[in-house]
Amino acid sequence: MKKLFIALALLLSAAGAKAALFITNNTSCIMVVIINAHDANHGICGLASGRLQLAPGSSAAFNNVATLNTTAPGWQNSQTATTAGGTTVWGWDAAIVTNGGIMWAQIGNTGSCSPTASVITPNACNGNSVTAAWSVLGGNTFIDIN
Amino acid sequence: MKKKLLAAALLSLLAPAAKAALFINNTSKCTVQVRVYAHNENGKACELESKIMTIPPMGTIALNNAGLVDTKPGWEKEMKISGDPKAAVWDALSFHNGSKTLKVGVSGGCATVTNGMIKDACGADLNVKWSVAGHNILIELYN
Repeated sequence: MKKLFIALALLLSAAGAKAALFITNNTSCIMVVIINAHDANHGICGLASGRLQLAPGSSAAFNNVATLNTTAPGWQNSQTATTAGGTTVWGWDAAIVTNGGIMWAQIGNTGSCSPTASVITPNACNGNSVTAAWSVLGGNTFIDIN
Repeated sequence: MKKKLLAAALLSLLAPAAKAALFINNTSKCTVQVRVYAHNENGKACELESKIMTIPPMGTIALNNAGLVDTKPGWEKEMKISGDPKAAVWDALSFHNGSKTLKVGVSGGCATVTNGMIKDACGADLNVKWSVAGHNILIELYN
């Protein structure tokens, strides 16, 4: 019984520790990312962020959905996110990655509003193709733009 | 089988070090103070030691490449990244609670462990974990 409790406690602490969103732009172009998420008050993709602009060779990190309540680019339409209920209730769903032109890569979790994990756009940055990839590793979500 | 697994684990630890972003995620209930260590493309492990970075609870730091540390918070001894900042390699992170230090990082660097536990400045047990996640390096601090 005690063992079970310890295992459960470990599981819970692990889940709480791992649910951040990490974004990396490794291209030589400015990239704009719009993030979708859900929480206790918003269904899958019910939350939509403002436009996060990432300079070439820059990264961004958000600890949880409520981080965007107070951190740029924020949520659209005065939306507010909550971490109530923990990571089984809230989560990152999808994103749109755009170069402001021809590239409009919609990536995300299976079953979300953008169920494709990786999108390649030819000629998206200085004649080069750009890959926008969504992955969940160890409970954290990563968007890699290469 | 075990040997193969170990080799694969070692490779996964070593391979993506260059051209990787470093993400630090503080999910603990206490403000943390850390330093990061890196080396230039042809340099020695941990030759660069950053100044202290302070991260509040639920705070994060995202560093696309080691060149970003040049300006904020800077390296000790006023060192700078030389050569291609994207080719510089992250080696380790150290956490200091006021009396003791825990350093985690890649094997072959200046850290002897990839994760460990130490008291945070608020007196609670703090896990400090270095891991490779895809193309990125992730350091998680959590109670």
